[in-house]
Amino acid sequence: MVAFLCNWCSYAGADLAGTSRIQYPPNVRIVRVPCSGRVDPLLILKCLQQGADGVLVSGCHPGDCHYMAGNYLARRKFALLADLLDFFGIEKGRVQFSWVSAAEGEKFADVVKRVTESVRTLGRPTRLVKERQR
Amino acid sequence: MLARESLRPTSQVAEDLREIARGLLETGDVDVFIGYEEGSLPLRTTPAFVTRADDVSRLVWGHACENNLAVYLPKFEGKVGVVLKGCDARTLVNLIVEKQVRRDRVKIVGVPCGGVIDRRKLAARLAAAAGGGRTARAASETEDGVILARGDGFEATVPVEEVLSPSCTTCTHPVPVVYDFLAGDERWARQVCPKEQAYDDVDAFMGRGADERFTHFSKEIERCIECFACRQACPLCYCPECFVDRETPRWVGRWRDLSDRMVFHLGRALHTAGRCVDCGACRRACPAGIDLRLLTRRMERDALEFFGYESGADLEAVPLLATYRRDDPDDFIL
Repeated sequence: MVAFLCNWCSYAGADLAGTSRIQYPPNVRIVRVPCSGRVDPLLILKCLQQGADGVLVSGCHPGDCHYMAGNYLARRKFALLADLLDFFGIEKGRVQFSWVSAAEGEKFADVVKRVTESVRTLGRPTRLVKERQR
Repeated sequence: MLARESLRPTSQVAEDLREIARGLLETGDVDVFIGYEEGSLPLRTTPAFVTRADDVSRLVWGHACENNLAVYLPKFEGKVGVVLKGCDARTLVNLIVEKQVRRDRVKIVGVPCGGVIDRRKLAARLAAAAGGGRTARAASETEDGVILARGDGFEATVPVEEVLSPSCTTCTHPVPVVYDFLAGDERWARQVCPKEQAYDDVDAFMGRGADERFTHFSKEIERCIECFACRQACPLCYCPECFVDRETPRWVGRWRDLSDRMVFHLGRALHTAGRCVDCGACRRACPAGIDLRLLTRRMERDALEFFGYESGADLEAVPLLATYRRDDPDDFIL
């Protein structure tokens, strides 16, 4: 799975989980982004095309954005993307979103656990995956 | 048959249009006037760019005026007069809100719209009426909204109401929300679809299972030949470089993989979210007859349902994705 983590909160949260020796599933590959607002929905579609089992996007809690409103703007985009993917028939749970602060190492580990489990129940993806990736 | 009151004297609208266009061109208020003229086939029109007052007689009006002429506005530097139906005017509102067109450079000639013909539906009706390999050779529309078609040894009449473009049947704004001149009469507009019913078909589609929905989209998008006519017909697709044309990163591959075509359609829907007004130009432009409106209308519905945002209704609006509210939906986030 691919996880897009905001540099200012969730990435530090993941780091905290690591330095605190909190165990979580090793199934995510983390991509550090400057803000959850940086995550273009096309990046998420690209991950699904390339055969990622799941995509997690995590940013700062509402009100905590380093750039004041990046996560609020992201939230609107993600609400539309999540509904569009559902409408299109992509399984719910392939793409998930979370708010994790720099102090929430425990929560980060928990989010990864939950996302991994729900993606595991969905199994290998077939929808939207490119022919040669299957 | 339609009630007499709901009929639209189309020739009166055409006369009004020519009169307004003549006035604008003679006084120099506009450099070019964009309207419709007769196409080369029966019941087809083509965009007309009139620059001399003497040429206004080329302008026509009828149920075959299907193009959304707002598509040309971001491309013009000078002052432009343009004929806009209800939906077209809402796309122009979005172009103004997104600062692609300056309001003071456009003279809007609004037309209370009676709906436009879906030529595929009409062709099917005429083929059924003609039967046995015969085709219609000539067709015209009457003042009271009936299409008359003739071919070898047959005649057919089809009420326009029965072959309307699907976007017209869910139209909530047949009368332009903004205009400088109005051609015809507001009472001649098509009846308004109640807002609470406008997305019934989208909700009904959502009621099917995820597998069925995905199969439906797969079948539709399978037919896509990536001509991007839908993008060209859309007034809101004005980006100098579209994401499908990008090389690095290449969002949409060139190897006709169904997945790539799906990404194009999903990306297009996302890019029109909160902007699309369902004028139906993309669907009418599609040579493969793909139901392009389903995805964009879902986004339109979501904009209204999640954020209470109606696209193209307000010249003072801030674009949907350029703003936020603290209490926007949050329940889908872990």
